[in-house]
Amino acid sequence: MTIFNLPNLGLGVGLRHQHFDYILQHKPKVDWFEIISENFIADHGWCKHALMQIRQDYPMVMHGVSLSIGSTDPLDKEYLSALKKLSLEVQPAWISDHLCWTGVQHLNTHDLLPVPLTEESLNHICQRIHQVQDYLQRPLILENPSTYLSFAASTIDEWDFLNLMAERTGCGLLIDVNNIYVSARNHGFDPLEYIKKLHHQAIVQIHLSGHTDLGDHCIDTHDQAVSESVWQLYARLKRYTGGVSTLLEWDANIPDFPVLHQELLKAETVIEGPMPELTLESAPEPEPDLVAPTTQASPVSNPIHFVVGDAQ
Amino acid sequence: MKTTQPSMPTLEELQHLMQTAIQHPQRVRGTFHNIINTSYGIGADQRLAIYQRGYILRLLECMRAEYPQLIKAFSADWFDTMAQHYLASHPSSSTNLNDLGARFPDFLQQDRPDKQESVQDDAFDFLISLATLERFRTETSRGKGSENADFNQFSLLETQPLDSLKIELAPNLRLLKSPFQLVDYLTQLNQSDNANNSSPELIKQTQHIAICRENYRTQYFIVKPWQFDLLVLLQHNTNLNDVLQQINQQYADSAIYGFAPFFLLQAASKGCIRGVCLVTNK
Repeated sequence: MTIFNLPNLGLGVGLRHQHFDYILQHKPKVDWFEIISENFIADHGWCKHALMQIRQDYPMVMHGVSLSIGSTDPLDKEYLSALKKLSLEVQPAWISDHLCWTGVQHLNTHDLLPVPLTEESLNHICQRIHQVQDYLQRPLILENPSTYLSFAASTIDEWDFLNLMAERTGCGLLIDVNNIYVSARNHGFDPLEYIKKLHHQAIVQIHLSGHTDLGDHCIDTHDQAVSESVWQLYARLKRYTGGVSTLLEWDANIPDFPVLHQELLKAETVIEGPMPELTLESAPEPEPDLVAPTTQASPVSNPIHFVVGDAQ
Repeated sequence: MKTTQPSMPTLEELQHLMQTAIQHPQRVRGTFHNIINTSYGIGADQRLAIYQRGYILRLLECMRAEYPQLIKAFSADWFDTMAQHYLASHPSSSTNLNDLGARFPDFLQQDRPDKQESVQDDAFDFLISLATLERFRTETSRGKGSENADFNQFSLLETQPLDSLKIELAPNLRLLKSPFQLVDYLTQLNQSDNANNSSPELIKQTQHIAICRENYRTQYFIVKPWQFDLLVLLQHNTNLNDVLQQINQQYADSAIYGFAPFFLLQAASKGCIRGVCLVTNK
């Protein structure tokens, strides 16, 4: 199997346990769902039961947060084995994770930490992607993370890093346009250039989500609607790719399913237009006393959708 | 491509340094100024602080989700302080978060201020007991249960002599002997929450609780002492005859043998039992 055999699943949403009952009762017209693999790997309760019921009616993709492909620790074989076991049950269209590391010394920060974009990292990560793909017997799909720092040691632009990674390993790309926007605001690159320079044929999936704008930087909070700037970026990427599987993520302040669904359906109608708020040339440097108010006291990046729950 | 800067740490060194900075910010202050790009926007410390803050808040949120009754019974501020101490000494080593709070009750036990004293404070006993109950609830909720059990097999409890049976308990059954009437307290706590009434009454009297799951609903099943001990013994020995003999010796009550089938049927209906079969190698 190569990434070129992977289907366009249409428009999907991240499956969250708050919506299990609604989905089971109403069977909403969503093309597909994406699950957080780690929430089901060690679960034998209601959540896993509901997942398998929902799976009977919808295609699914498994999206992980603990592969830690960029870590210098050895690959976690126990985790890979559990991931493969879950994939045999769920039969996902593909398995994805992030271009990041989550911990070393056998610890897990449960965050998606940035890697220095160097030849050393690229070689290390490509070698590990080969190992994972050989083990899972399928191409791995990797997502660009939102980042809040970059390293002075980096010598490769992120889009080039992703392109080289896909070229050398045959892995696919999951492009999160909100992450591109957040990182662009945090590091000062042009998100349009990023999107333009990606190898579009390697893109298997697109992620959409909301962020918190703090004026002088942005946090990837997944707690609100997709911003107009991100929709515009999506429209551009949609044109470049010709349309690929698209998924809306919402992990904090999760709305009722119909609200989430309406937000997703905007992806059908979004058309490319002017992006006055988007380009860095037009994004003014905020004055310290004009920093936009945050929606929460301390917005958390990459919120975890942690499940503790029974049947209702 | 850009040119690299000299004397930068290796990838491995960088990751060790960054992880230390995230988990123990005080240990590596100022180290990152030459490592993090600062040519645009906010400074290196502020950038690192996003990860440091996110790390603790993300895990704290998981701890809060696992111990909601502890927060209600004590306070959110107290809980956050204890949970942060716990997370500092028990960082996650798992790829999922199910085990993050697993050792929290033990941590509270180890950390109790009266542990060296001859007379221990009831408040700490209550705290630890409640934390244990909440952890058990999580384990029962997520663990392998008895939902797929064949209910026909439970009729063996009515049709066959008990000394011919083997009992397999549900792997997610948890048993807690609490020095307090904990389930009653929690019922009142949640009622007072809804009705904004006064604080619930905590009665110091031993309660034996089986935490079990029936049709994917976790519940508290209050049992008698002999029933509790029967289940404890069955967790280690599936031979019902052996276990009943031990219970008879312990309680010196021959009536227990007569009550046992009814109790086991009730326990099966609540999801405590996954399998019943005949002993084949008598």
